[in-house]
Amino acid sequence: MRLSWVRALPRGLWGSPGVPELCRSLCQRPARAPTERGDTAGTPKPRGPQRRHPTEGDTARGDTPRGDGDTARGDTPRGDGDTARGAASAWHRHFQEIRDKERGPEPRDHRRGHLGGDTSWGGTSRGDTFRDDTFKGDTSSSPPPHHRSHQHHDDSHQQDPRDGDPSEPGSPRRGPAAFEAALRAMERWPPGRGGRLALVEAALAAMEALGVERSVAAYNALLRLLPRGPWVPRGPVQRLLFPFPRQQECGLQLLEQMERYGVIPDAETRFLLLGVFGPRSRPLRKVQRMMFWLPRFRHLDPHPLPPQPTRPGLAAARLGLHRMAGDPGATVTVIQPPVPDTGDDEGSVQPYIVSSQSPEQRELLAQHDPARAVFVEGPFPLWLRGTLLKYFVLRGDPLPPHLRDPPPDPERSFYFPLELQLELERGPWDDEEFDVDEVEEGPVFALCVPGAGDRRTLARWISALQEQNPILGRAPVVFRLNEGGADPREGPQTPRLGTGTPPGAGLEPPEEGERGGEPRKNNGE
Amino acid sequence: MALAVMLLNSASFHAGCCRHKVLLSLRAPLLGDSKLCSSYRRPGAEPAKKLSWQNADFSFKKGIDHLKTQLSLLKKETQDYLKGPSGHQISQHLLEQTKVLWQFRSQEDLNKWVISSDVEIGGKSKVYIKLGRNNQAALLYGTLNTEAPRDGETKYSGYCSMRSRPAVGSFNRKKYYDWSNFNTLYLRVRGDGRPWMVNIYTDPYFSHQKDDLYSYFMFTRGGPYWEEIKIPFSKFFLSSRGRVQDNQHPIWLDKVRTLGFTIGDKIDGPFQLEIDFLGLLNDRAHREEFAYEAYDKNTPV
Repeated sequence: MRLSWVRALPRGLWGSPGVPELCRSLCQRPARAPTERGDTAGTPKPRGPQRRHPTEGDTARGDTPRGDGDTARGDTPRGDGDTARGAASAWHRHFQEIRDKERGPEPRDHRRGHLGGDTSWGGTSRGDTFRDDTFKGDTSSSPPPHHRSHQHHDDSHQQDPRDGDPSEPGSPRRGPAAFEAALRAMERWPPGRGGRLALVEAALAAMEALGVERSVAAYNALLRLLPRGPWVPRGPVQRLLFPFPRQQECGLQLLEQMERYGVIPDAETRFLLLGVFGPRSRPLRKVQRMMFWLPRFRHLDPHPLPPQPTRPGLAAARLGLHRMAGDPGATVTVIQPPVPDTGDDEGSVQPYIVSSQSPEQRELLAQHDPARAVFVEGPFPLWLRGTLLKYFVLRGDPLPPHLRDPPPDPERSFYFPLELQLELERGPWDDEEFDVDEVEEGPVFALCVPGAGDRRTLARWISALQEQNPILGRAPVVFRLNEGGADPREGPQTPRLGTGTPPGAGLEPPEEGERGGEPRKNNGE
Repeated sequence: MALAVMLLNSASFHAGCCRHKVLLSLRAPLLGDSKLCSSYRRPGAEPAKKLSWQNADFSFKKGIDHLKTQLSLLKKETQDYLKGPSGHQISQHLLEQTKVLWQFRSQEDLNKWVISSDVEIGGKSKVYIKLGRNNQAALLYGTLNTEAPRDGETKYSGYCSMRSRPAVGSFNRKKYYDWSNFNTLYLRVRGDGRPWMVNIYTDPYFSHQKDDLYSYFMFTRGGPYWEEIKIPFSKFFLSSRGRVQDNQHPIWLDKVRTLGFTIGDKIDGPFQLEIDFLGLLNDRAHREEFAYEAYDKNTPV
């Protein structure tokens, strides 16, 4: 909203004298790039010709005659695109093609009439988004390569990245490079207010599929496409009246996505936002907050994982076992390497078995009574930031009270006490024990992460453990496997909702063949 | 025009954050305040069959029974009051360094907690709670599903939570926990490696602050061994409707209402958490008063 009459007011009312000039001088407004067919895209004044309106309404058919020059190029993607995801906007399709074909994007025009204003936040008027008076290249001269139907763009924003094929796994560089190339190409297109917003939205949605959602550089590159200067409110009066709401929301959406993926904005992001939105705007406040809180939350994890995501497989199993074993002296051994070694079907012929046992656990197992059984329990879940591992535990049951060692007889030694319980003038102010019955669980003897959780693999594990722990040859080994994992039956326990008093935490009916515990516990075998 | 713009703005700015609506619908049943429920019924919500005032049953016998239970509760409260602060001897109250708040050994202990998930806003996560092996711990488990409900305004989804029921005294009066003697929260848990969020709700005096929540993170290691996690209260930061606030202050521990655990780490898949007990500890080695700066952060850019 340009309130040019504000300039008639006393200067103090529209902000400090330097602010608009400062913003403009900081970042020059980029020269308007001419469109491909060399039309006068730079003139802001003339409104779009009337024929735009009918073509805005019925989109696909209306432009086909003009798109003749490009039908060859336009048809093939349209064929793919429409059949697979006919409702996505042209921007999304553009990113789609980058992902699919990994070539540089062809410069394409698109209609912004619908895309710019209506975002997925329904019910907003378009009073603030300017009609494309600046952008008329599309109608007459510039090539509209594929004119797709724009009717369903509202709900297309979320669905596109998931519809698209994922970027090739073997090309970690191509995703970011393709994204950069796309942005560079789009930079050349004539600016117009609605178009940039749609571009940003489509790019944000496509980032995850291209694999650049955690890189600050990608977000900065995206921010460089926004115009610097026009969206800066002039003075406190305009700032008070929520200037450029759609545009600020676009900036906020970009920052929300950064926050969601835990990307910390850097000084360049802040500088770009300052140029685009001006000081004391919502995106800038949000960046201030992000730069305050995200670094504080980044390193809170007392057991941090390596920053690169771990792919499921042998390496993840090793990492998981190192993490779970309480002892740094625990040895992690690969009992059986996977066949084939690497790739997506790692371990499809022969699954890997990785086992871990620390010296303490070995001692405990050596002290275990061979007449009592040892149990192989599992599978239990272990998450390594997005990768789920299933591990198995070799453990024994706790001894029943009548089999535990009695306290030492004080008459065994007359010269010094075998057990001391000194009060040492300690009162409740020194007592740091919790008054609660301790959970009794048997000792853990070994841990294992196998590629497959069937009994043969686990038996192979046990026989490998037997080399270091001969007692396993004599003690009976019982397999307590719950094939369904810890999942419940899909049952009646769905949490009920906010009408009236909610029920207490529902008790799941005990499952048979579950962690096997209750009926077989403390049998004194 | 300005008003219309402001209304539009507020409508669209809130669209991105679904949590405030969630908190509204979450807390309404918890505190029995039906004013907070709006008339819009979210996709996952059950239809309101009966209004809360229609549930009132005016039978004489039930009234007498109710009165009897409340009077006995009142009697117990008076006896506790005469015994000392919060029902203990004053020496114990002043000198104790540890306190067990909730332990999970029986079904009644489970009934003191309420579980919820994003089913309330139309999501698809599932959460269940049961007693673990040998009735020795509580097992909170389920599946997280980050698919957002298709209602046009929710962008993110996927959370499950377990919150304690607020304490209620005789005649349904609010009772608060007084944790001012302690400075650390002690949790004995066994997780599966997923990070959780611990939230404390202190009933505020002003209703404007009713969405205020003090939160911090709980990182589990996973594995077969129990973990003892100590979270000092100085680390809890203030958030409201899911947004961390600019003006931070340390939590006031004298009027705590509920404690809750939430998981929402944006990863689809099953989760589980076993909790042995929750307690308080006065860690004398911890001298920090507050971990975050309390000065004004909205400085001119």
